Amino acid sequence: MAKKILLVDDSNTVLLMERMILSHGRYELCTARNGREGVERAREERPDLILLDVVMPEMNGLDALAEIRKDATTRDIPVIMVTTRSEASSMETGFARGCNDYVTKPVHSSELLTKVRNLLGE
Amino acid sequence: MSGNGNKPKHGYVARVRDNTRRYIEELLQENVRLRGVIDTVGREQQVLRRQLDDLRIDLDRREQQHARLLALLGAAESAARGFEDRFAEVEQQNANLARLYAASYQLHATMHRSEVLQAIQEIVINLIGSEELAILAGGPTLTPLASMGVDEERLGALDTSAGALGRSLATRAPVLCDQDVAGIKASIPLVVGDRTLAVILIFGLLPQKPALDAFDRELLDLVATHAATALYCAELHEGKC
Repeated sequence: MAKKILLVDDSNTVLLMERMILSHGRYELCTARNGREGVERAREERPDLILLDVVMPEMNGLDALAEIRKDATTRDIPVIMVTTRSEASSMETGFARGCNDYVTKPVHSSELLTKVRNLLGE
Repeated sequence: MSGNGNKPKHGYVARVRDNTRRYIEELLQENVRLRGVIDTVGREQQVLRRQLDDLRIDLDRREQQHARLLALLGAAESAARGFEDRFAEVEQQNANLARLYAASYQLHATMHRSEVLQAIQEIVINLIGSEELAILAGGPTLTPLASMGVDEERLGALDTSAGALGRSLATRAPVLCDQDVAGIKASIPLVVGDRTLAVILIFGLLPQKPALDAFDRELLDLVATHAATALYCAELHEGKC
């Protein structure tokens, strides 16, 4: 059975890129356009992994991550943060809120695939 | 008396002689046995020598086999590394094609000018890796249509006849550089026919992006063509052309 990945980003361009990169791995993909929708979709879909953008309208990625970690049904889902900034401070906040890993934009396919496969135990 | 006197002496000599004879016989027998042992040991030694020779030959053969296997292993490892490199290259090419496709798709996904401008910004932010950019309308004076991370004052002070901006407007082609005097790293004019509709300026790159590379140039060439067409179509659609 194909592993399910939830992609959360407000940018169509990023969602399209992530879809194209991950389609090689034969994953089942679902998307959300902001943090709030991402939290809801995570509860509904129970994905095996979440790719979560940091800067988004309505609810940003860090707050969405906190919500995901609070909910018993989603707290164990591995989360990779997707960020434009690689500064230690923003990464520390992400890790403090429970993200498992992060990638920086522009997203490199080999880096993303390696991290996704690693967290999915492949 | 004399006869009786010699008798014990004669007996002693005879005992010594008999003992000596037995001893000599035993020595001769031991000698024969030892000769047999020596023969046996000699034969065993010959057998062992032959075995040793066989083992030496076998060892040589195994050493040659080992060397051949090591050479094969080296070749296999080299081939595996080659395949890994090739796989990484193919993955990179796939990613690059994905970026080109995503950019092209996004630019032509709308007929609204504001959404085209939004798509251009998204491409520069997410696919190129910059959060310091501006899109200026073409014409006698360049006016900002959209910008991010750059203040208007800086845009107003741009010299359209010098640097990367001046060269790109003159050649009507994208110009990429390390950084010109105005702090521009790339200037991409959006040209349709003989009109320069707009120009995209990239000032700074994200910290994790050290420089624009060959693929960024390819992507910006594509953006120059497709963004110009998309912008032109959107303006036609909105009745601005």
